[in-house]
Amino acid sequence: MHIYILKRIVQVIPVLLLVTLITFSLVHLTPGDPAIMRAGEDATAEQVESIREAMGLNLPVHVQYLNWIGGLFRGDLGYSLQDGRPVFITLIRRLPATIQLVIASFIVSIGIGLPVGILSAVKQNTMADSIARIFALLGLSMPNFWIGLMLMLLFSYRLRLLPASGSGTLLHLIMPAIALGLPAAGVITRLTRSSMLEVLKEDYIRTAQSKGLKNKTVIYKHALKNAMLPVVTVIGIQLGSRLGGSVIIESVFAYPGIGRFAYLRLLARDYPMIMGNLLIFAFIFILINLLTDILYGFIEPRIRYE
Amino acid sequence: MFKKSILVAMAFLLLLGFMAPTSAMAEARTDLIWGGTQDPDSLDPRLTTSAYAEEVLELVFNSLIYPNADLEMEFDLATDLETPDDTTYIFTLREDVTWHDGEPFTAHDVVFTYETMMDEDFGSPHRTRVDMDTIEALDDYTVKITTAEPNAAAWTGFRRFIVPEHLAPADPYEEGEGTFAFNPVGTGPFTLAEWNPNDYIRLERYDDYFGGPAILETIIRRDIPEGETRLAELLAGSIDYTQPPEREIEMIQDDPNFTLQMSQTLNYFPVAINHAHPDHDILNDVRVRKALNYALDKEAIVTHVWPTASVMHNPIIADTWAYDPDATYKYEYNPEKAMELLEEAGYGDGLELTITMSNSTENIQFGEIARSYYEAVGIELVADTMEFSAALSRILDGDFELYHMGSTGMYDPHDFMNRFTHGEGVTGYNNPEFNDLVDEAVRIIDDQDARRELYSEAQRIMTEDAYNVPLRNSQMWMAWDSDFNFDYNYVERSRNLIDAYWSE
Repeated sequence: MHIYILKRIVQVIPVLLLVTLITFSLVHLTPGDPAIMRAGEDATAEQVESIREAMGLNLPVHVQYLNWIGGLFRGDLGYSLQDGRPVFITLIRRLPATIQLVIASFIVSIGIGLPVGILSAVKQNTMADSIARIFALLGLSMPNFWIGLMLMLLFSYRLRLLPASGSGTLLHLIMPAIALGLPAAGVITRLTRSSMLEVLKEDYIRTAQSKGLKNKTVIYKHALKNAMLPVVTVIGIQLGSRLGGSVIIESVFAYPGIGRFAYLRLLARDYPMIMGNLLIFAFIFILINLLTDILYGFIEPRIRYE
Repeated sequence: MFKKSILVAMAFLLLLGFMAPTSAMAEARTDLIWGGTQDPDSLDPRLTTSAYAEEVLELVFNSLIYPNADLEMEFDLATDLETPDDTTYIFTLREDVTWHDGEPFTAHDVVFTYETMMDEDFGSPHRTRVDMDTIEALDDYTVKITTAEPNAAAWTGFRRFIVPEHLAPADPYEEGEGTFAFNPVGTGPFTLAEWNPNDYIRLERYDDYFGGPAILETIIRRDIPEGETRLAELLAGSIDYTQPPEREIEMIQDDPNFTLQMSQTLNYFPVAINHAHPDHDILNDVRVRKALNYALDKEAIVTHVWPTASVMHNPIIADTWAYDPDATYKYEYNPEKAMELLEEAGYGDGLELTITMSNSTENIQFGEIARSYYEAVGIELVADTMEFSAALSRILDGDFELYHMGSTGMYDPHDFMNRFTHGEGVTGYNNPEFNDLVDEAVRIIDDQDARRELYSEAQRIMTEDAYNVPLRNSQMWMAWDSDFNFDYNYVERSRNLIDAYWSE
């Protein structure tokens, strides 16, 4: 197990390097650059060129990449081309807000998705099941920015209970977390339901029931534990993608996280910020995948890592 | 189990109750919470031309002079201006100005600001927008500026914000030198206390401001990109001052709790025509350009897509001093005429044109509408919409047939007209007669009437030439709590917050 984890961690380095190479090329291939954004509308070609030179963008792309990688190995992610802020500190300061939002949204997703999914499976083909399935479908189908606006209309504008935007207190987190978490609650509901239904048909469940165990024990101890594997996988995948998916919700609620910041810097073609942000996202994504794999081992002891 | 969850829910609701804001205020407020549309890109004034940066910079910095709402020059850091000849400007400066760190402001700061701005290696977007040959400090409070040629529009270059020589970097890209851009020090009525990017900017009153301290003590400008969110926050009273979405303007206007102010901008949005397209000369044919004008019902389109904007038929903004309605030929909607002209030009079988623009909702809508208007006269319009940066890059490279994007900040008519001379502008328009008029007008330093006459003639020529399809002049609007006493206009903008105050 330890060797496996060590191996996986060593693998992270080439993966990250490859990711930086691909994105660096992609970012530089897309039309537009920070010099154009700075020069503004009605600029002349000559003006853009002189700004480009001042920013060091006239160097060949591979030289720029090597310079960036050189900085990376010295632990220096550089400075923003837009406002001169140091990349690493700026991004790291914004990360906690997004992590809080993502965790809160998972509390919503899992807190709703899991119990509703279990209920739906245990009470299969009842009224409760139908309602749960409709709920899951609704959650899946409603775009999260729309949920966000509707929540805002109700809780901020009508009831004046919750602040419509910003961050700082727990209150600020409620609406964005619901808007971000609700669609995934639908996914988790459906997945838990189908996975549970499958497990409930297994022989060992029948054995457990026939040996007189309490229904609760059968469901939570025997069935749920075995049904969790696909659910954990999906949660793991979602955790990573939700970091990026928070962009829209962060914009709607003017929530100062890293997602919207990354998106804005992408539009502004702030190359050092984009690269720094990508590196951090890639790192988190890889880390979450690793953790999910390790978690498998605990949930399903039959999975062994050599 | 069930009881427990009820308990948790109740505790939570209780918590909500405690955290809800209380509003019991006896005295007049001295703070302002402002919902901004977009975060500034940089707060080093030499490095940005963004309106979102400028509306903050206006509170932190000062300039030698600035234009007022009537586009007339007002003194700011300067107290006097002498022009001994057509190319020399001697500014006398205020002697009672201090930077926010207490250091005195002198002529050397002015020289430093403009020297770095004009330095090619500095990469300032203002460099080619400022006409200046030399600048020197004659003494601590006198600055002499010269231009290479007489330039009636040179004054617009003297409205740049002045930065402190002892703090601002001479090379913004040197590592670690960038701090000034997000931690600026100015001479203005407010100091920058905190800037958390894409979250909020907190400004505190500068008590030693040379114009006397402002009434407001704190201004918090929150970055709230979504219009609907800004509206919800304004209605809920969480912010005091903001730009609501265009479609909700009427609702705010009818609400006695809020004041809404509309203001004409200096922004011009045409369908620009590429006169120097390398591949074909369809657009060099004036009949095609006229047909492009006749084929659109501009009134209907503008009213539908941009309800607050007004139609322009003339490149000079209506109601500014150089505008001449008599020189304007209005290409009224006339599809038959458009078809006739196309037939005459040899495109009776139709032709295909591409319009390049950014992918805003309005632009996409405009693209669809324009497409159907042009289809009716036999022009197949392909709307090529993309992200703003990509569109801008395409346009600056001259890689377009038609484009739709704005031109901003035209304080002097020359700022606008010069974009169409000698084929040097992005559209490549080059009419010798027009060039001569514009070149002559800008050399007249002290006779506005003489300039006006030349611009009238120039307006007539370019309109007859159907140099592009003039479309709209945009309006700006702001809304605020009606207890807040404030006067907004597009040109002075945040400068007017200095005198703004709350009623008790």
